[in-house]
Amino acid sequence: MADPVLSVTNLTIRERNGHILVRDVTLAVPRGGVLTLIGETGSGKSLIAQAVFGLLPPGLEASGQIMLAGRPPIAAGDSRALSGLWREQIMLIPQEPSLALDPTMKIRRQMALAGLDDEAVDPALAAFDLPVHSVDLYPFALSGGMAQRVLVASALGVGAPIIVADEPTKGLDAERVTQAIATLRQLAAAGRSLLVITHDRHMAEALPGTLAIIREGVIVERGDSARVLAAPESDYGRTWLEADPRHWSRSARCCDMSDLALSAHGLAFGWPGAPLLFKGLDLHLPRRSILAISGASGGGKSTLADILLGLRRPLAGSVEWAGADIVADPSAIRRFRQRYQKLHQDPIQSFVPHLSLARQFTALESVKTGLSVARALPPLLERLKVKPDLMDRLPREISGGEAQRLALARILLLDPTVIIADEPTSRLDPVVQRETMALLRQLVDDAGLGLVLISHDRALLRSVADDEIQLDAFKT
Amino acid sequence: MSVAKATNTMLRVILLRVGQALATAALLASLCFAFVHMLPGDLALRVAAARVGDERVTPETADRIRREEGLDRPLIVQYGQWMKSLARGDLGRSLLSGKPVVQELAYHGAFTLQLGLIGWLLSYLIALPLGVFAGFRPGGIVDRATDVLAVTLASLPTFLVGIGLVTLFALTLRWLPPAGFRTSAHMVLPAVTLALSLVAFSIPIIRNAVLEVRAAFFMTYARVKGLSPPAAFRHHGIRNAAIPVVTFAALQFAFVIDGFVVIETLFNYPGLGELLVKALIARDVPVIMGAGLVIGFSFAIVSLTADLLRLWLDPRALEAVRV
Repeated sequence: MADPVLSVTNLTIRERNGHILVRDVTLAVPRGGVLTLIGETGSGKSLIAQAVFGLLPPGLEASGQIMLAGRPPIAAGDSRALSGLWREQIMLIPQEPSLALDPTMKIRRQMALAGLDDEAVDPALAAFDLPVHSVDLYPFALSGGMAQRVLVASALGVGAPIIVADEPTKGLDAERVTQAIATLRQLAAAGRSLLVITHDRHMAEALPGTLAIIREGVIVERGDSARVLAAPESDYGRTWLEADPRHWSRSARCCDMSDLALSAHGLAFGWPGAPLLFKGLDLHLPRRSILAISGASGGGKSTLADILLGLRRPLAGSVEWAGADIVADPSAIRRFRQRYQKLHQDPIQSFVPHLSLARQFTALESVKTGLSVARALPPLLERLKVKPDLMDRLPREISGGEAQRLALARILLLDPTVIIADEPTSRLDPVVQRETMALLRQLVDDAGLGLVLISHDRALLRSVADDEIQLDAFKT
Repeated sequence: MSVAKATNTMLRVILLRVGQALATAALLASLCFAFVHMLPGDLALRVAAARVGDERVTPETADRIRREEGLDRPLIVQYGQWMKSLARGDLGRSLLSGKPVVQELAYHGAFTLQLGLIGWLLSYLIALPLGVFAGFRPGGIVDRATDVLAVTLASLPTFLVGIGLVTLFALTLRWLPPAGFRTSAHMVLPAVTLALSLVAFSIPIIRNAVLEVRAAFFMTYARVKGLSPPAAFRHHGIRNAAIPVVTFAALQFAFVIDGFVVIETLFNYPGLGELLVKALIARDVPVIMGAGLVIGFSFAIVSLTADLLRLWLDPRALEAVRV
């Protein structure tokens, strides 16, 4: 590459015990160009982004060099020197938007602190299709997708010539993915250089430049993006591309509507001072079936999930768990709680941060009588393809995909009737996504579960769900 | 959420909680009534002994007091009478001094409040800089030293700390008076004793709050966005770290007005604790019940203040109340 603006040379990232997570990776981002890095969950692709910023989690060590054009190389482990490049030279669009925002400060001030004055805020919001009032909200009132867009908008207010986007489409619906792609292309056209880390195939296809595929910490293939996507040379590259939901076969089943695990009638909900998110919503979930709920980012998908789980009261309507209306009779919630479970959008956050995973699983024994985690967990982990040695770690020490599979294992130990999965695979790469979906389908069929699947990815939903509800149709 | 709605929510919380506080206080006073009457011995005789002295008390004096103060009426009638007066805002008169209970409580309560406030403020003057510093340099000298200090102070009973201070500063160095309440110098030793007993628990809380916030990703990200470390802490750190600390500090203040007996007795300080001990010995029922009311109510008000501060600091908590 003639003129790399950012080059990473022989980057190796290892744990203190010597276990290597990323091996000898060499990358170059051309000036004004795009380098896209794709790979499976836990492959180490996000670690590379963290290493470039000197932000590796404690316990990990990096070796190798990071060099910006016209500057002396910096040792990959030298966090202090790397932090000197922040904002002026390199800017990060982080992958966990909810964690990157101060929970106690309204968005407007946070954007102002990032250098966007009031005049710059409104165009920035408009560019990302964010409602004007969203800057006067606290982060908890934003959906995952909205928070992500707020961060992209603020990051663009910063003049750094190099932008590293770590999973920039995580939690965005298809339309917004297209927008995000357009924005990134716009950035590239304006002369910014991009390192994009993603597992979203649409994004990989739409970005020009170079593509690198990483697996288990090693780059298995790289080359011109269009060429690699059209005809991958490595086996893994081929598997990855075939796993796209658009290539899955359509699920077609019929269900027994007389055996309902969950139903709701006439549901309405809205935040104070804002129009209703939905009203007059009915849904029916028979056992052994998957009901998909789709809708735009910020449209109330996660809120609907909370209502179905009895975590939030609707403004109107009823929710029936095995025939008992939990809105009219909240005591039913306690009786059936264990059987109605949620698989969270952000699995790492659903674990207690300072306890090892093993201890958190053992704690389930106090919730469910007769449960032996030591006996029930190992076969489950094997089925979910989770390495047992992960159990000794803290939640922040595992990847998002591993966390999602462990969160699923935790729910399955409770022997649920209904699982409400909120974007369960949005953080997983296509291969693991397909495996997880196949697994969910199998669980639904074998154990007689009802599954509510919430996603913005309609191709994915159509391929696995028995029925679909589009939330946008119930907007007021 | 709009400002008007937030204020509305706050008002609802306040009204509800003040009502709960009053009910709790009345319940506590009623328990005091029940317990005093369950104590063995003749109540009128104890009151008489306290009034005229143990040697000069006779059964006749006791009978006279029993008649005069209406202690011969059925307990339920006495209790009903007290509740009726309470509804009018009248706490009755002390059986011992004959003064209105309100006056006794106000006099002694002012002393306790003064000592409590000074001791509590002093404790945070000590704990905040040490805790914040330790949170910025975990494992450093200040962190390890404060850790030892906190563990030591936490494991020493308050009266031992007090006796130690008296021995050193009053009896040996003769810098300060050992006990009493005539001058402001008299406040120093009890206030320091109190402060040290509070510091033992607040330093670790502050240190951990600071440490936790500093490790939060939004702090790192604020720096990636270009804020200097001090600016990041000023804008994003302080408020987030303050959430657990403020709640804890308010509860410690409740502990101060509740746990004053040891320090007040040790320093012969005329606060509520001393009043309560005297009243218990003399079986001065109206004063005991009045003190029960005051303690219960102030505990509830302090914890209400803690909740309101938390709602103000943390928008998520406000949201949780509303839904």
